Amino acid sequence: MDKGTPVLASRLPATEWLALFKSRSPRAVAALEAIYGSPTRQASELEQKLRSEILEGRLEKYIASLESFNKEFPALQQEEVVISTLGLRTTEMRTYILIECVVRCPARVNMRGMHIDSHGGGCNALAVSLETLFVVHPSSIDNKKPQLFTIKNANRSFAELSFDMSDPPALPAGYVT
Amino acid sequence: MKEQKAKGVEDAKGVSFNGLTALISSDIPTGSGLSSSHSLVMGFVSAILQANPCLPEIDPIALLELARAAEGKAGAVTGLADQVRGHSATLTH
Repeated sequence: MDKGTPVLASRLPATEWLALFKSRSPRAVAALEAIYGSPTRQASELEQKLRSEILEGRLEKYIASLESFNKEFPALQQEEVVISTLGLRTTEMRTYILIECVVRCPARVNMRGMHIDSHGGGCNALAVSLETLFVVHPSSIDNKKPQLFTIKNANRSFAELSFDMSDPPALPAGYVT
Repeated sequence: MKEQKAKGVEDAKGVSFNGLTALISSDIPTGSGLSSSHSLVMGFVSAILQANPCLPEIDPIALLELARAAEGKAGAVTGLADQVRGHSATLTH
């Protein structure tokens, strides 16, 4: 792999990304190690084991997310996919023409308590490996409605959300303006 | 900082958004204190920005403030720490 090219900016059809993840190819592993880290030479056996488990868990998560996307939006499954991280967005990612992408955002724990920062308290939050993934095709699924948002959840207990920004829906009751 | 925030947000106002098509997948348990809601908001904000490269550059802090405001409008009063962590920790954790 060309080390001068951001790994996560690679554009591949979704089916190829899936094949890379499923085969645990060095390229896919490198892409995820760029996000989740890789053990150093000095890493203990325990750290190596834990990092391997995290990486394997994330590989499974990406595979499941891409497969769900393909299942829910079969018309888009041959489109190219970019795996991107949230932290890259405001600088590097602007230079790429994104056709489809995966966005991720991790969860966190805060050892000093919850939301105390809103009351002037200090925080020492740290990210954990649990996260939300968005597999995104950055266009409306309906060519006649370019401002249509269609959002589904892999967890079927959450309803599909669809709205057109050219005709925004009314704000829900209790919405603070 | 406030001037940067205002500028970035003001520049983005009135710009037509492209729609998008997305699938959300999360393994963060809700209601567990792991900030699943902020993760959802930040992911969605990022997805909108990625789908709209024509939007003017918005100061990252202003973006985080917007995400916090969005959570606040939905009824969750939060500080900025979760959003900052979500935005910056992805490259290091």
